[in-house]
Amino acid sequence: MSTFKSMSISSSALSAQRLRMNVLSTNLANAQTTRTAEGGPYRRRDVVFTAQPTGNQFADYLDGTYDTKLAKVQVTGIHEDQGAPRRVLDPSHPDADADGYVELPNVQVMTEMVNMIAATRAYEANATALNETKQMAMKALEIGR
Amino acid sequence: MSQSVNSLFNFNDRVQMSALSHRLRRSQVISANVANAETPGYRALGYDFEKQLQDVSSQGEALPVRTSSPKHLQNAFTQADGSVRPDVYVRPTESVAHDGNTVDIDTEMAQFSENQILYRAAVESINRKLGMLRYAISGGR
Repeated sequence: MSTFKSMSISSSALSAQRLRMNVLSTNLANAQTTRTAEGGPYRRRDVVFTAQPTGNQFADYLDGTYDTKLAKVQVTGIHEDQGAPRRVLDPSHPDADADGYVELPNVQVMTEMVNMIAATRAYEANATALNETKQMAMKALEIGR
Repeated sequence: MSQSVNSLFNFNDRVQMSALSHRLRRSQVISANVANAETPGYRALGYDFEKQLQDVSSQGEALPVRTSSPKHLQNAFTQADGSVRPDVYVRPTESVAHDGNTVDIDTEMAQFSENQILYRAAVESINRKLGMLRYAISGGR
C-alpha cells in the first residue's frame, strides 16, 4: 500500500535525524572531556547517512509500482573525527602534559549547534511530509461518504 | 436507460480516479527526496504523470484496451490507469551541492503541498460525482 510506503520512508528519516541529534548532544556534552575509555581526549562524532532502497512488497509487483530508486535513509555508521585535539595551556589540569598543555576534544561548539539546527529543520520537514501523507490517506477515506 | 453501469463513470471520472494513485505515488517520491535531503550523493527523484494522463484523456474513449486474448474483458475502466505507467526518474538538476546531493528542500515541500491540494481536488471531484449518482438513485429525494 503506497501510503504506508511513503510513511515508512519519512519515518526512517525521522529516526535517522533523531539519532544524529543524539550524536550531536554527545559531542556537546563531551566538549571538555579529556579522558575516554580508548585513552586521550574525546573525539567528535558524526553520523553517516546512506540511502537504502525500499523493499518491494508483493502488492508493488502486482500493481506495477515496484522499483529500486525510492530510498529510505539509514544511519550506516558513526565515525570519529580524526582531527587533531585542541591544545590549551592549563598547567593546573591533571591531564596536562610536561609543557603544561591539555589536549581538549576537537569539538567546535558552534559547529555542533549549527548541525543541531540543521537536524531540527530536517526533522521538521520530514514530520511535515509524514503529516501531508497522512492527510492524503484520511482524505481518501472520505471518498463516497 | 440503455446505458451500462460502465458508462455511469465517464472517461474524465476515470482519469480523476487514476490521478489519485499517481498522486500517492508522487507523494512517495517526494517523501524519499525529503528523507534523503542530507544524504551525500543522493540524486533527487521525479515522477511526472500529468502529461501522459493528459495525452490519454485527450484521446478519449477511442483508446482501446490492449488485450492478448479475445476473451479478455474490454473494461473501459482500465484505460486511463492501465496505459499510463510513468517511471520514477532521477531528476536532472543544475545545482549540485558540494556533497553531490541534488535535493532542493524548498521545491520538495512546495511540490508536496501542491500534490496534496490536487489530490484533495480529485477526491472532491469524485465525491461530487458519487453524490450526483446517489441523488439519482434516491430519486432526487
